[in-house]
Amino acid sequence: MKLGLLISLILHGSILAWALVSIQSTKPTITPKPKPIVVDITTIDKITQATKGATKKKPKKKVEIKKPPVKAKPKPKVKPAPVKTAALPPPKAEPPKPDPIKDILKKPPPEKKKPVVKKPAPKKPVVKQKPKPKPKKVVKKTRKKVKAKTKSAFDTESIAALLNKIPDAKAGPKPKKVVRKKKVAKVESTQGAEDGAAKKLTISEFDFFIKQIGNCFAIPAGAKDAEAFRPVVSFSLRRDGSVDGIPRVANTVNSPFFRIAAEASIRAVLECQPYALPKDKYNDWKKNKITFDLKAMIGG
Amino acid sequence: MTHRNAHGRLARHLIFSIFLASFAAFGATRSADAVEGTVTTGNIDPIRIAITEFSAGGGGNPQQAVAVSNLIAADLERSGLFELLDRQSFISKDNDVTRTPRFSDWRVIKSQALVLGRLSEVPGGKIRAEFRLWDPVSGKQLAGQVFNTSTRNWRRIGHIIADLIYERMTGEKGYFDTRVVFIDESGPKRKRVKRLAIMDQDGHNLRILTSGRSLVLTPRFSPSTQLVTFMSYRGGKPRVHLMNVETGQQDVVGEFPGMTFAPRFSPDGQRIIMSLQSEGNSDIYELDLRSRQRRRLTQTQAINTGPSYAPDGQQIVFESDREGGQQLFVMNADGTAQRRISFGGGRYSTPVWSPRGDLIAFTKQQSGRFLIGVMNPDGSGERILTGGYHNEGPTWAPNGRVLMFFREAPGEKGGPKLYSIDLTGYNERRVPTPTFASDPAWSPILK
Repeated sequence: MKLGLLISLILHGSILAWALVSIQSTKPTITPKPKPIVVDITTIDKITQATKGATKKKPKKKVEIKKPPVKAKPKPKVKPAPVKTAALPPPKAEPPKPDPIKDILKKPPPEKKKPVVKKPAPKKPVVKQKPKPKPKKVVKKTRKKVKAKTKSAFDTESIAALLNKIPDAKAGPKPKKVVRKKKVAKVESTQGAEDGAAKKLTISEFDFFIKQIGNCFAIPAGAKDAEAFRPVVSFSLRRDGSVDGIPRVANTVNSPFFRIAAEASIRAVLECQPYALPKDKYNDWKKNKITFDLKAMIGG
Repeated sequence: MTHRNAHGRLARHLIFSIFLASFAAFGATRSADAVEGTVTTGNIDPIRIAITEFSAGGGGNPQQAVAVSNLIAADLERSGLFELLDRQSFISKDNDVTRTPRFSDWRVIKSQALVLGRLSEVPGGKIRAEFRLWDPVSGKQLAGQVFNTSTRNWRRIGHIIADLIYERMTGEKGYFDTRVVFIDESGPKRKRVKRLAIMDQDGHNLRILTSGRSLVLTPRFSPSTQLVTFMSYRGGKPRVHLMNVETGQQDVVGEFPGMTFAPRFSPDGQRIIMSLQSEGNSDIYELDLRSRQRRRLTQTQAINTGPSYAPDGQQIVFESDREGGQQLFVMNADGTAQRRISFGGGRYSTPVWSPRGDLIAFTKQQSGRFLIGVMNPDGSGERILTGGYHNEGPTWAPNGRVLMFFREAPGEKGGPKLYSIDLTGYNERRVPTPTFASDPAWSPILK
């Protein structure tokens, strides 16, 4: 009996001891420490406004855009009809070789010969020349500022990488690598006004602008065959919302339909003027580069 | 701490990414150079076009000049892609083709295109027609041509100019300088006289090509020439004919033992494909026009008929009741890889491959109605364009954008008439013919 009692006591004692140990060890897992999530409250303006930072790359882009001239010169059609004799050139009243469009389009500006018209003209060369002597310094300064701020700021190119790494986010050093990439991408992708001021055209204002143009764009019936064509039209606007000068097609595709699509794009830009845009944000919409995505339009 | 910072950073990035997504939805990005955006919507309104009355040059007939401009206007308006501006609304009355128009006058009336022209007389009984197409918005001349031709060709000149304007403004080939062969039907319903006839696509310049002594059926244009193939029955014997519609010269391709149906040219015009009937079945044969050798392409215990080549000549669409009701099938040009493509309810017949190759038009019989529709060559994307008591026999315009078909009205006094409809299904027009007309076949562009 004594032996049995002893064994019983030992067993009960060991169970109690095991229970005490195991209960203690589960406690911390049951009540984990709350992990705070840091959230930044942001306004839409922070996204819609381009941040500071005119970089050296900007002038390069300008040059690239301006290089391709408008290639919308009408080529005389050759139709093998037995009755046809010749293509009819534009009337003599126009200068023969220079693009007739330019000459004709130069006529509307004289109608609006106001001091306002003259002002924007000299501005252009100033903008071109500025980057050469002084802005370099400005660029450097702003670059530094950007670098300082970008550590916690947003970067478009790093999102995919960041999201891909979510499962591995436990590891500490990986996000640091992303941040490094950000620095480079940031400087290249987000460029603000040259004066360093942030832009303030909001999404709704910009969307309204785009919609105005879209309402005037007549999709050419032949669009079915040309889904991939995306004419890009560059144009400047005056402060009153009217188009300043001639819209230019910045890209080119060797196709008759592209020419028609490009002409329809230019027609849309010209037909819709003047544009209703906030005048106090003129610098935001002074220069525009609009892509006409035919594939999206016809439901491709 | 570092762990917490990483989480915080991640959360911030996610929030920013949500903002980015909403921003990207507007298709807008910016750079210091210019605001960049993407227009993803447009309108499909007809192009507003102003067609002035053509002026008469030296010795030109003013009435004929006006008639040419009216013909151009009618062609473009009928296409459904152009909205003609009322001439009463024109601010500028200057229709001198040699001068640059005052574009502001045309912009005021919202004109997107402007046509000016002149018709003059040239020694030798000829006329000289010239026109210019302007874009008043950009102030650019889009097209300009001069034509010299015989006076009797004045309608063709108008159609050719309309084609040029259509192509220049839409990017599609025009189809106005074309003709249509069809079966001209006259007399009482039970004793109809059926003759082969040809006319311009707008219903003018009608010519009867056969006498009516023998029954003629299913005329079909060669895709590349002005040759027409058709069936004739005389004394119960079916014959496949070839006819040059310019000269009227005829040739009998062959007499076949059983009933023969629906001959149609291959895209190169060198072969004819048709169905021959024997022992209750009907199979598809290809006939080489030079060697007159025929090759059987289907071999089933069923009725296979109505064959039509794809424009590249690689495939053939046809109708067959091998799986019950009439359905559409596609096979390779050598008869291999036969497969069904129509699976909607009802019965499908008279398939015709579009000259562009992207669609197949058909007649569909469902719930007591005859419908004209189109589908993709793989059978997907079926769309019904029009329906009615009896619609049948679609034929494609050479640009593959418009179909012509015949619609028969019920009753003793009813008869078939020709109609055209575009691929939107909204622009249906009656094609005028002096008598009843059926089984139209659209020509290629005239040369």
